[in-house]
Amino acid sequence: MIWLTWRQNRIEGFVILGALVLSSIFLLITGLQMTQDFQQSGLSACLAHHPGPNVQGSICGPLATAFANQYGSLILFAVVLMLLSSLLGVMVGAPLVAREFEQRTTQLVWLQSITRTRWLSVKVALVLLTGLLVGGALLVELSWWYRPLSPLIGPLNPVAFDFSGPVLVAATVMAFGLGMFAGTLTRRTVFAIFLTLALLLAIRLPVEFGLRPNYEPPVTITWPLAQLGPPPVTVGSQDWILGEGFIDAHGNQTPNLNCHGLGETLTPLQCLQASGYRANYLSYQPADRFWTFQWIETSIYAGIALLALAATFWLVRRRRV
Amino acid sequence: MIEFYLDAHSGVAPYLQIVHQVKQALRLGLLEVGDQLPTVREVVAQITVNPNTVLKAYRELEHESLIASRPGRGTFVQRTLASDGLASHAALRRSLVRWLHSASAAGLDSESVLALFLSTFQDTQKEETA
Amino acid sequence: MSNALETAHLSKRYGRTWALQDCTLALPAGRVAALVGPNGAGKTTLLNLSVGILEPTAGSVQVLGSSPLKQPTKTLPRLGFVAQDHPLYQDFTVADLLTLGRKLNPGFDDQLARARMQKLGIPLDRRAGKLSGGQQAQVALVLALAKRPELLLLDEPLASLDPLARREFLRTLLDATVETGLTVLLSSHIIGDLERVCDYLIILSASQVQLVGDLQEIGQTHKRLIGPRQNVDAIAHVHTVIEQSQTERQTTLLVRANGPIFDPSWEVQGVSLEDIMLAYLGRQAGEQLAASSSAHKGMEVVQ
Repeated sequence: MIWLTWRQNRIEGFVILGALVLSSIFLLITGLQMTQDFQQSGLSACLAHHPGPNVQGSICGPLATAFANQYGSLILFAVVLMLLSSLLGVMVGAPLVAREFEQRTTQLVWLQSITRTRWLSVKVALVLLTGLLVGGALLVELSWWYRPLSPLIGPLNPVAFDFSGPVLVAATVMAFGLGMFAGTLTRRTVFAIFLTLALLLAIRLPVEFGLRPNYEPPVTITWPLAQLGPPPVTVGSQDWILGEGFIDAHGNQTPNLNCHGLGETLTPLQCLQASGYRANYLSYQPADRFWTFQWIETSIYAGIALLALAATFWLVRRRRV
Repeated sequence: MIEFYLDAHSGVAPYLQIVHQVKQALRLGLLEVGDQLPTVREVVAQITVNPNTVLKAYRELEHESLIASRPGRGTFVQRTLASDGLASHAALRRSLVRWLHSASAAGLDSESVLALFLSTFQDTQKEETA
Repeated sequence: MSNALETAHLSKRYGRTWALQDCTLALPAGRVAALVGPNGAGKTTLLNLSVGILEPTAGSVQVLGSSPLKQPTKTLPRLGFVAQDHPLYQDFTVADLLTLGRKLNPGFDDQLARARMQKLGIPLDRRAGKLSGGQQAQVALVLALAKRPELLLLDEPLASLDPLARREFLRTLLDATVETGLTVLLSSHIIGDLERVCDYLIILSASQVQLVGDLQEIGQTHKRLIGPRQNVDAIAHVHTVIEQSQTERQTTLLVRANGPIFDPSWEVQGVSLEDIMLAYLGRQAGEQLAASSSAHKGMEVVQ
């Protein structure tokens, strides 16, 4: 059965291996260049001499900004890799069962002398193992690659969060599991792929933008309107700022300023007070919550993956032909 | 070795066709005492027929003591039919020749002669079995 | 002699449509049986239920003494199946398919399979998708036969084959039965070829079993009765009328005789197997034979 799974999926296997090798090469080249520049520009030494959470505001600020401007766009490539890994998960998962239904080879392979459960188990186990290995390898590579940028942007940054920890692996496994489930449910590969992509969007977007900011209640600090400067607490580059602005007359947090009569007659402070604003506020997630958040999100994705796989097994055992 | 054929549309049961073909071969001298008949497997390969059909035919021929099967070695012809051969029916042959001449003189062509013979033959067969 | 296949009130329903209704039959071991019926009669359903790909709505099926659904590890190695249109992994080579058989079946006879492929002239390194229809059918058959099954089920194996391919397929099949005493059940909606190859018959029509029995006995006990136009009640009382037609002057009946026919008003003739089958297939759904009335000599469901 192991042989059969390999033989059926060897093309996908080679494609994935090729993609992994290519991306590794790219990551290696750009990563080495970044690391080198990190040293040579003096940024590395500067940060070592002036440690502190707030890099932008410190003496290393200009160096950091220059570095970020130069290499920040490479983050895009990391995003592409992550999307690719989820896409590959879908494209391997969906046809795993669906294609056999489409070509009616279920009526060939289910009549050999193995049970349906064993057939599916080996398939799932093998492909899952490959996915975990590839996801793990990618994680290690991306983490190494990201190290120079990490002090400047921080791991809680929405994009960096996705590839800086086990969430990457869990998301890939979830893509694979949902793909398998959709394929087994619909028994049509192409339809299943699109269905799974839609499901992934429907899951990941709300999780990233709705749930993630609230895995733990954000830290909110308020300070009087009169204090128009920076907040009294030092928020570092590694922290994740969720929102900042004013507390309005109704007690709601708002980033906006709706002030009447600014300019001639009133000073900014008088204007704010007149419009009913009560205080400044800043809401953020501290950097030390990174791993907690990672494990929460990993559990969510892993839980969905497990459900999808369980449902797949149930469907295969129950469905006939 | 004898080679069988099967006429699927003759209305005659397959096993009987095999029996008839063996008997015909015996009559014509194509099979002699001691000759080996094809194995069930060989017959099935020749005419794509159910093996039980062959077994049945061979059993019937064995029942008539025409053939005998020796376990492990095969099936062999045991005796022939009408040991005198067709030659002994000289009188029948002569009257047949006379009839054929008469038919030709009456203006019948070969096909009509054959048709007349067959229909009369079949009618006679029916009378005999009825 | 035990039965290779036994069903008891086997039924399958999809939504509100019955694909198979109250099917009770037994197939004795060692037979080459034909499952005959028009498209949609329930043949595929019956075969799929017998190999455990489908779950019955009601009733039960036993294959070689065990349930294919509940005891798959026990039943599957002894069972061979060639599904409709003989599905194969199209991008696998023939050698790959043999490896599949070897890896997934404990008793797979790889040598036998290779020998047969060679005899059939099928190259081992050719992809299945590149073989002709007839060759693909043969490969599927050899794969099933190499398991050394005791019962082989085939769903319309000849449907898409040209006459030469059909003949060669049957030759391979029959050769295997000589070798191993294998029981075969093959379904077909084409009647020709069956009489020379099969010795047992199951007629399925409108999702119900119409007739089950030994082919030769069916041929012997069915008669055509021809007589002047008359009332058929007297005859119908003793024998089972399968089909009747009346003209102004003549009545023709096809009966299943429950004994010798003495009535002098009828001329008794034999009936070809094809006509017998057509008569049963032409019956309306409501006229199906009650299972209990088949306690007729030679036609009874063999216990």
